[in-house]
Amino acid sequence: MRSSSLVRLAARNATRKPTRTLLTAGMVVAGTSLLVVALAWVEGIFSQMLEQGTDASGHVRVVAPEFAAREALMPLYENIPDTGPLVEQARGAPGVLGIYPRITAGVTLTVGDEIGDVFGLAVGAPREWFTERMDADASLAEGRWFEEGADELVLGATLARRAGARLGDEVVVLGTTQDGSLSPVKGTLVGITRGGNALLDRQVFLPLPKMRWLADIPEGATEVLIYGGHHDDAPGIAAGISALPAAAGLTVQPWTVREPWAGMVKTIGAVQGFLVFIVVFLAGLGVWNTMMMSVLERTREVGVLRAMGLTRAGAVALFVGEAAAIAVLGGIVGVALGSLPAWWLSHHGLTLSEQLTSNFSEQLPISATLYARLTPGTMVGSFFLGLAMAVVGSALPALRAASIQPVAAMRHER
Amino acid sequence: MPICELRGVSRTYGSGPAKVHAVREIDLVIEAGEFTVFVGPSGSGKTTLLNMVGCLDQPSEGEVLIEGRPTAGLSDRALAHLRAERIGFIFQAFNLIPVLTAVENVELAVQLGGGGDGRARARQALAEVGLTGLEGRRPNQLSGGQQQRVAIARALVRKPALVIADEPTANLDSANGAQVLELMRELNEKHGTTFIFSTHDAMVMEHARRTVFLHDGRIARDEVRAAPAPRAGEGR
Repeated sequence: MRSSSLVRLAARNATRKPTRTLLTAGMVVAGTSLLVVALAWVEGIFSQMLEQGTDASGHVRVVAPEFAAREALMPLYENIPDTGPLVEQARGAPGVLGIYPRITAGVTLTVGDEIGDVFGLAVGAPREWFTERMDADASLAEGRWFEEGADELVLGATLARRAGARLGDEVVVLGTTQDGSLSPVKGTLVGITRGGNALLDRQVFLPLPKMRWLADIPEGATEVLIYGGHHDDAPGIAAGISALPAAAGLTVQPWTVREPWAGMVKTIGAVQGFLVFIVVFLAGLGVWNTMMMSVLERTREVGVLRAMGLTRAGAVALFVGEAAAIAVLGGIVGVALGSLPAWWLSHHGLTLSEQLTSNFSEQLPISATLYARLTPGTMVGSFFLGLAMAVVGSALPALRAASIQPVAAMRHER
Repeated sequence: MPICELRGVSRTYGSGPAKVHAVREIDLVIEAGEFTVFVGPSGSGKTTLLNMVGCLDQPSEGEVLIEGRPTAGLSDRALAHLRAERIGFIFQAFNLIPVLTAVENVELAVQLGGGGDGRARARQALAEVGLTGLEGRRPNQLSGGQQQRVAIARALVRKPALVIADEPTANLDSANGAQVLELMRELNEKHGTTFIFSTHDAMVMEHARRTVFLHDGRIARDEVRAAPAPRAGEGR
């Protein structure tokens, strides 16, 4: 049988019972629109996390191998003693747009005469790293950013609140040197940031020279963060950096091999796959129900077609084609309907309460405002998944139709 | 060569105590151009026999040959192809596809057989059964007699060797039934197409050249008229 005849018959059959067809289409519309919103939402959240995460930790990071092995302990003694040659050579590496030495260490804070019992993470880096990579100006809730070389510091909002610190206060940051000796530095609080995620709001930001003094690493750093134009460039940049003489003996890591980002990429796929499975399964169940009714009602008609020469494969194609014809319309409507809230969420986002965001893991910089990311790929993918719902849902009814024997045509209704 | 030959054909359904012998050890030869009727009370095996002659069902024992070719062992696809190419069907309840117009119903039969030029052939077939001008109507816009004419056009459009008609006048009043029978008789004479009917209708029996009486799944009598039966209306 010609495919054009099958398509025509399938399309006409779809008009046979308008209410049922609307019900089938409704399943596809609901499933497709839900997929558009859910996939755009998941992709938006993960993209935000990935972007912020790689901005904070570098597209590529160079560390001492021992530091990489014991990273959770943040061992200051496993540092790169002199970052100068690496920074100099990396400037000429292909794709590299920014290089920043950084030292991070656990510290306690003291404001005024009280002995501090507020723990935080001290981050010391060049001022440009904060302004160029961490969008520091935008995240400032109060005051200003510190001047390079000045006795100034900036606190995350959560840390400032816990320490009771206000702008202009003298804050003592107590940490250790790389050999474990207690080491305090003092600075004037000139700014408070509200970065919108739990990780950033629990940090104290120091100029790199002050952090080097605290850690007693005069020319070096624990990490050198390297950036390209986009985090997707990281593997290529890492390959170029690894070839530099100054990187010999050091560990060069693109973000793709570092946790939690490597795991996150797998998680994105798993979450999206799970969402797709659930929605396609549920919508497919609805399509199955209505298509099965259709097959059962048309048993004799299928028998007639089989008697006239319709093959089993033709019977399958007839019912799958009918469901697909409905799904094409349902998919278009579903994508259009789902795109509206997804577009709104991609522009306005959804802001979570501070209490909720403060409970997030400090390893994952989840923003307080979560944006969806609506891409043509999501829309086209959801449309085709709408078709998949129809195919999945109509497969069993179609197989049932194929099992109808041509002799059914001769059965008389009594 | 006979159009259809049945050799020792039996058909049983079920098993054990519930086993039903629908037809038993039937030997029958249908020659090309015959206008044959299977007659018998309900449960005598008429429809079962038609099913096997039309390759809609396979015998439990014995063999069915269509134009000398055994049908046993043919795949589902091969049987579908054989039916589409060589056998036409006319049903008691017409069984037209309700969402297709008259011409599309007929065209569908051409396309199921993989033939080209379906629309033109469908129009010609409809003209032959006197339905010119009604091609664009759907079945629910046609009378019972017109629907059965569409079904006849559908059965004949591919010029099959054999047409199986299962009680084709049962859902028609006597006037429409007579017209439909007359039409089939004309087509039988004009094209030499073999027609096999099952019926309870005495009018159909009157038209037949050969009547096969069935009883309890066996052939009780097989009568062949020497001369053609009178045309509908002539002898009534």
